[in-house]
Amino acid sequence: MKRKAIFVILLILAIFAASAQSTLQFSGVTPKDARSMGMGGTFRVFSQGYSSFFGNPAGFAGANSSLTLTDISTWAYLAPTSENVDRVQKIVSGTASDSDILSWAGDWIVKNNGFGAGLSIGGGWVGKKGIAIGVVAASDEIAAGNSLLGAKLVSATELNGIIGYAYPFKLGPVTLKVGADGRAFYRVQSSPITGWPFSEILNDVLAEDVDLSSIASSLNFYGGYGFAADAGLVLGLGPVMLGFSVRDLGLEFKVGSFTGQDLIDKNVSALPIAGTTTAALTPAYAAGLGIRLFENQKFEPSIYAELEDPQELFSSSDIVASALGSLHAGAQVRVLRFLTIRGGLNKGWYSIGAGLDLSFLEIDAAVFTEETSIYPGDKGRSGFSMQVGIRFGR
Amino acid sequence: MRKKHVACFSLLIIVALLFSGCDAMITNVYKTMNLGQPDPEILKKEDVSTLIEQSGISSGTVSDSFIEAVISDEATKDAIIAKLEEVVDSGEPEDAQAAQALIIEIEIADLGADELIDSFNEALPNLASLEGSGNGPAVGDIIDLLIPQNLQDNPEQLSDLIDDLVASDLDEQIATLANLIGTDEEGKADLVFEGLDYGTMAQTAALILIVQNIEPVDESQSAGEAVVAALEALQGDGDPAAFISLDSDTLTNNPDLAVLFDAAGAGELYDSLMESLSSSEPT
Repeated sequence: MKRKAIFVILLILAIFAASAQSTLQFSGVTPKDARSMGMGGTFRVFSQGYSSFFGNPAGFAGANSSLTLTDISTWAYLAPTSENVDRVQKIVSGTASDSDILSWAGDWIVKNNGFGAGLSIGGGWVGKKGIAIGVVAASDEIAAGNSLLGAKLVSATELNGIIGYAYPFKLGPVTLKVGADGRAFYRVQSSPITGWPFSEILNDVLAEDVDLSSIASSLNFYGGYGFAADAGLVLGLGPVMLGFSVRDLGLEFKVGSFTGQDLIDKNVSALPIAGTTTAALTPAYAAGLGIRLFENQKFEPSIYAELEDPQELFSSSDIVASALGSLHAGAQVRVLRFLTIRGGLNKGWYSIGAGLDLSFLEIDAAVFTEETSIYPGDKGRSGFSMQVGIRFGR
Repeated sequence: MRKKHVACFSLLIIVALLFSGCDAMITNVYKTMNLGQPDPEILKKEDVSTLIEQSGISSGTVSDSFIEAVISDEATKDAIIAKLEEVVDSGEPEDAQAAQALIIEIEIADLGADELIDSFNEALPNLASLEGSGNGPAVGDIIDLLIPQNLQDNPEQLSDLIDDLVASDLDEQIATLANLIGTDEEGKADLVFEGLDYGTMAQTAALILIVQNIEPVDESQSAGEAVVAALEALQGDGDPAAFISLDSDTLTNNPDLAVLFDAAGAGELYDSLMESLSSSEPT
């Protein structure tokens, strides 16, 4: 046990030592999965099983093993109102005019503070002894700005191969789960700051004689591979848990440039292997408090509160505003071991969700709003998320 | 079997939850309770780099809460604008542009014109596609498109707002911003920085200059009164051009707009917009 503890501690220290500053900063591409989004964006620090591949690696140390054959999450940054559903139907059926599409895009950018969509696909195994191996690919595309003309489309896609390990230490009534994982990833990304000029792309797409080649050539990407690590711990006393996690600790890596047209012409071989521009992932920290009652019983409620980047509070001139501006709170009730109802506050915005766990098939859905400004209630972006998983075990 | 029924029922609830409309849910509890909002007293003491960062102006989305806090009292607004002006005069070019853009945002909100600007930002994509008989869109159609319905329904507020915009020094503020961007030897925008939303700045400048170049036909009327009269005429099948005209020459010859649209990479839209405005029918 001692040797395992020393190994985990050394691994975490090595990860911290590896974190570095760089030129291009890329944020993590985190799946907006329905479980988390239904609970106000919580369930990162107290993730369990498969969710720990993009949550807290300490969650690999569960009592049960689980095999996720596939887990697909898709989300859209578009409030699921009847008006928006009607608009989308008209666009899909081709009955919307170009003017309508431009007007609705402008409306979504100004009133919803952006719109877009994302997808994540993955699978993996989390063993009883805390060893985890998985693959997760996630892509997030958002057009946002103060107006349609000023809107930028930012695209980020990341494929991860992950190996993790977590170990539960028993210290009397207290349980300490410590975990870490290492990831090899390939990242494809538009410029994270300037993105692509969305109105130009939209106008080109809506033009009478659409020149797809010209559009694809105008889309500049960065691409490159790197290595990163995540680490975390969860301290438990009965049903009460305290947790901390850090994600996207990584060495600098090199990215190269290519265009959408290169990808069409050369397929996967267009992806740069040895770029010349230096990039790094921006580490994301989270701390939380959770209460999980009657685990694996017919009535299983749990409640979570998590702070994003809690270290920022120490340098804030208005701690209350900063704390509320980074607070995710949520709860879920699992009844009869297969039906889950969720609700939460995502930096003050309501979210709701529900899930079904039918033997090996899991279906979850959520409606959410997330804050895009530093002040709660300032710029909410609404959306919905659906998740389907084929999983054996929890 | 029973479990199956519950599962099907639950699935129906999930689908209904997603597509039954959720406007009531799009509410922020903290905002409603005024929790976590920017404090004017704290903002007054912040340095300029913190103010620029917290405003969101350099990340492409300006914080409405920040602007509301700044204009909540005159002393806070004056103190913050004074700090921003120092950077405009002597700061690094990127900070100077961000500070100047923020000054414009604050002044617009202080006039109560932010709603008009938001409406314009939504409507501009449709302006170039307006169709008219013969030479282009009628000025009444342009106004109808640009002015939000609630302001059209409140003529007194609309009239005051337009008069305030006309009387403001926002045209000079726009010129200062355009000068900070500057032009290169080919007359193109020179100092363009990542993160600043030149597109929205250009649109905002376009609206302000359009409003400032509205001319009442009846010289005894203010611009605001004339626009209100034109709108009433428009609603009653009257002729709005009997009340207002647009000084399109001044507008299309304004060099600042060209710089801002060029910085936004929207030179073609600028040309299309100017063509549309210069060909608009006076009657």
